Amino acid sequence: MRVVIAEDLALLRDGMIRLLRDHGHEVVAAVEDGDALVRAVAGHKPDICVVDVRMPPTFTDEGVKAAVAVRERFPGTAVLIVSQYVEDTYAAELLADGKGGVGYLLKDRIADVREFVDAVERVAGGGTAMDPEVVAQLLTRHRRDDGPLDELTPREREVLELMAEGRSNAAIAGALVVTDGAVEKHISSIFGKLGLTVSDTDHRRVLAVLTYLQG
Amino acid sequence: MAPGDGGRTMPAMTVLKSWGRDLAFHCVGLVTSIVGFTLWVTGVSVTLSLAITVVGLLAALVFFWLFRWFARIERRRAALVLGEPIAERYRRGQPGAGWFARLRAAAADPATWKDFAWTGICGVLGFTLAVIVLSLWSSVLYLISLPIWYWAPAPSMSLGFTDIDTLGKALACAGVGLLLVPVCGLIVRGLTRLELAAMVPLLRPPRGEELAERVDVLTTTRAGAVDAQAAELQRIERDLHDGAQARLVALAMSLGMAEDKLDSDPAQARELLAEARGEARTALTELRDLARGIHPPILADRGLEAAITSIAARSPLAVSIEADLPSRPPAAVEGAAYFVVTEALANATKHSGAHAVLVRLALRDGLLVVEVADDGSGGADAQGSGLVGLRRRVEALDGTLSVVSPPGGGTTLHAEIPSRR
Repeated sequence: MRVVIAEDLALLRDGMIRLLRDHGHEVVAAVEDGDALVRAVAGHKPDICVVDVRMPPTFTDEGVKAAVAVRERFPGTAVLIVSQYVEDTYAAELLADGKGGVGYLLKDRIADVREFVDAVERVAGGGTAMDPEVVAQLLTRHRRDDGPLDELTPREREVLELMAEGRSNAAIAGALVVTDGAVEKHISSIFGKLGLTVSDTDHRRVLAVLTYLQG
Repeated sequence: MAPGDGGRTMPAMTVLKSWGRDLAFHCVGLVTSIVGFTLWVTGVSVTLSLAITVVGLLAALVFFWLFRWFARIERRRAALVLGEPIAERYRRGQPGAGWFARLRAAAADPATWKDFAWTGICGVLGFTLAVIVLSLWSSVLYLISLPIWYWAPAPSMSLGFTDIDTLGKALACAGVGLLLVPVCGLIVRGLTRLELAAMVPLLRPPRGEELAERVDVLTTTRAGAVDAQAAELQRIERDLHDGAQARLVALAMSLGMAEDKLDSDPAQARELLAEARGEARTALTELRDLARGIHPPILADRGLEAAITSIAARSPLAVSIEADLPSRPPAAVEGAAYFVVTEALANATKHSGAHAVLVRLALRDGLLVVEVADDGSGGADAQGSGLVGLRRRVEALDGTLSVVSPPGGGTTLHAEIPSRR
């Protein structure tokens, strides 16, 4: 997998490079600001960019702006935002195009090396990886009262929340202390209520999550 | 010299000084009242005689200006007895306004008409009182000096009702003269108060405008303080984000990788653990520095001098400290002074190429005076964000901050902060 990293703090940039290389991924470029990110994506056509939110020159939300620009100009490029804080507005901006291949994680999660690498791989494969914090914040935003999500049972919501975090069916079953079969039943019920017909299973999964997160 | 300055000397000296000041007040008043009377009479007659023409309006503007100038001198004369000049406040004209707009603005300002009133009153009242005072004191002086005149070859001396023809009489008169000194002093004191009673209300800005001006100042300085505080919070957030918080992320990352490698590559895992420990230590140092930057514990515990000695010891520059602080200023004042010094030292270290810095701290007349002078290259930008932040912080406490930084001439920061509780 070919990765571009955008992170201005050398300490963290070097850490992520080492971590991803250790797990057999190729870091084709590591840049320090948003403009350089867009150029690096244009030049290297990576599978995924791992992007810090706050970078020079203004140290506010350069990373998010650059990530949105990357997805507009190079559709299909996966973006994983890593940040020291969660801002649901940024996550909403990223999700706005309704496509998969996005993630937003707190940098704390990088400490779980395997989970982090899994998240990078999943997002690069078109999936999602949302930090539980991001999910929680997105869910407290105003939602439509009459959306299809209203039809979900509380249990189905829990399942969908865990799906948004990017967990597998087995992991969801473990977290909710139910059988894999029960999880599968909940998921197909969710797909039905959200009007997602049987086609590509993975794609349906992403769409369900996006519907959920966009409220 | 302020009244009451003689508090440490004998009371008699204080009384004599106050009589001396009264006398000086009226001596100067004799001159200014003549000027004032002339000015007033000329002003009124010239302006009225030209009133129907445009020239009359121009003349009025000129005389408004002259009355203002006269009032300014009179406010200073009042300082002879009040200790400080009467405050002056006129409505601010618009810059670049034409003469007619200025005339209208001046005519609309009550202070202009009060100046006019005092110029006239001073011409009569000030003059009369000055003549009385000078006559009184010269009579007393004459009586006291009679024995000298007696010895001197004067043809004849008379007090009107008796001739001074014996030394005994002369000495008796001198005695009476000496007894009359306090009487005369008290009468003059009363006359001075009389004049001030007419003068001060006319020359002092009305309380309302004083308050309005104070509100303006407070509004500005409060906005400045709020901005400074917001900027400070932002700086702290940035320091945390880029410093300790990032260190902790890196530390967690190193620990995670170490855990990952524990079985497959114990040697590298050990290396990662050592790195993690280093990062933890650095994070602690950064947190400590940050906390010290927010409010250093030593400042609260031991006061300004100790806190500044402590940062001076950590500075790469040769910092000498001259402190004269008999008591501790309020905490907010200490905090502001501390930041003036730390910011000045940081600037001197970073930008100026200075070798030595002199920090002076003194508590003078209820003002905490802080001065930081370096021998660096000068040319500091007084509008730079650091200095603007400092100025706002100092102004929020009604203090002032000035920066002198000629290119090549070192930089001196001078702050004065009122320190009364």
